[in-house]
Amino acid sequence: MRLDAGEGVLSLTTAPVHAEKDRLPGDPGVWVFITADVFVFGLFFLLFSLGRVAHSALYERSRLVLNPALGLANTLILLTSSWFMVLAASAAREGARRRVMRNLALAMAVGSVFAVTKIIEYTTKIHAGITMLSNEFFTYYFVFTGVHFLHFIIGMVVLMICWRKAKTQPIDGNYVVWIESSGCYWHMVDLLWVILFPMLYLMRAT
Amino acid sequence: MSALLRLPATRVWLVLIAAAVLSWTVSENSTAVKISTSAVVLIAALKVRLIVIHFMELRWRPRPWRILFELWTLGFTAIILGGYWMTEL
Amino acid sequence: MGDISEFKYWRFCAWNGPVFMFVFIVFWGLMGHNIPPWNPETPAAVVANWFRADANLIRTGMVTGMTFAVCYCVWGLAIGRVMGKIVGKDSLLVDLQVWGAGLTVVPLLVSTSFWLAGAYRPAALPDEILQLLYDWAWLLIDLAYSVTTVQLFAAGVAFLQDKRLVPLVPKWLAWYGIWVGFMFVAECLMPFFKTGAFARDGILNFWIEFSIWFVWAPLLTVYILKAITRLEQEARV
Repeated sequence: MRLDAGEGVLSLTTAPVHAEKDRLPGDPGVWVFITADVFVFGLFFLLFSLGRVAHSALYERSRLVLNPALGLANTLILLTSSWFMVLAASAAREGARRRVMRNLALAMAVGSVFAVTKIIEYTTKIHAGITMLSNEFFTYYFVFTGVHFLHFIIGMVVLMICWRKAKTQPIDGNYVVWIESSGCYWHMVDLLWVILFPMLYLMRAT
Repeated sequence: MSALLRLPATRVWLVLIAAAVLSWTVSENSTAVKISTSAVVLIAALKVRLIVIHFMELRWRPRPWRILFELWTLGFTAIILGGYWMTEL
Repeated sequence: MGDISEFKYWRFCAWNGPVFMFVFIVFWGLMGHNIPPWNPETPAAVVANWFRADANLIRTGMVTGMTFAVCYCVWGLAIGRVMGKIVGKDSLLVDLQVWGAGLTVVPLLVSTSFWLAGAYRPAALPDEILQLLYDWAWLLIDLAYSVTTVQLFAAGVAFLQDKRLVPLVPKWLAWYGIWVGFMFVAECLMPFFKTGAFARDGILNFWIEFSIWFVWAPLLTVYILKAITRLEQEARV
């Protein structure tokens, strides 16, 4: 038996744990990270909105260079990867090791396609001579999606760690905290893209 | 397969996918640009709520986190929509 | 570990943190025209004239800043001792944190010396050289971020491993420090922009980046001092 004061949860280190829906999922500390990140992105949304008010014609002209179909593909990819992550976390709560590993592998496989589409998007623009220094819209486009992409890469590493842990360690209370925390981080990556996509690609000026 | 479809997470995922495709079609095809753009932003806000409430499973306890998150969603929606409507006036 | 009297040295070193912060805000920040820094598009003549007109104020600010820069390292050593009680004093994490804190002193010392150099005989130097000194100092201070990131990551990782019922340093602060370490990476954008959010005086690369660090440092000091008291009491028993 182990009393972990960090979460206030009494956990049997060998038995599966059912999620209680009245506490923060995962490790509370990860939520500090998530909250801080989400607020910085909130600032990014504010910066973009202010820029758009000041230079709406420039923003609209530049927006037309983007490929909304790729943006949509990215959204669908991340949403699906997130879904597999949810399935992996519920499998962990039932102690089902193989199901955890399968869903994590699917989350990573689907997620990795995001990297492909992103690289295609970036390289086509750079070959066309469009970079973060081209104008204010593209500064924000490259920086915000770039920072998001860094978060994505870290997320993929975290998923890989979850998968390795599932392979080599028991699927116990500790593991559930780990996978729920990782899941929350991954859902944050998904959620930020859900906002970036319409903001950058879809908002049309009349 | 049917077990998967019965899961709340799966239903939420289907809604999210549909909402994403809807946003894209609405924005690409609509002549009522202001309305469709606003709809697209609102759909995004709803999607964010779905992800946080159903994927992340942030419920009403501990209360402060949920409230903070709802305020943040309201905040960014207001900022993006507000900025948009300011340019359209 | 040694004598119980060692703890008074730990405490003295921990107090170096707030001393460092005070000196840096007042002497480097206010006297050095660094809160916020000159916008990069400011004409060279304006920056040069500031060096000439305010030379003695700048000299005073930088001299004090340079003297007290080492306090950051001394503070880091106190953090290292507390970390040693959590992960063991031979842990590599302790070394990484201490080295990170120590190396952070380098950009602080060197960049303040550039501002000092500008203020030493500004009348004899052309405007562009004075502007270069100011620019160079900021490029160094901002882009040396990764040495501080190493400190933040090492401290965070160590504090997250605290198995005490009430950890010496709370887990949320450990996570916050790790987040700050990651956030510093945005400084990589700074050399590419002369205006806007990513420039050296921009909302992200100045106001946010420095604020989040200046929140972490005093909070950590509070917990380090409390931890030292706790450890001292445990040692007496």
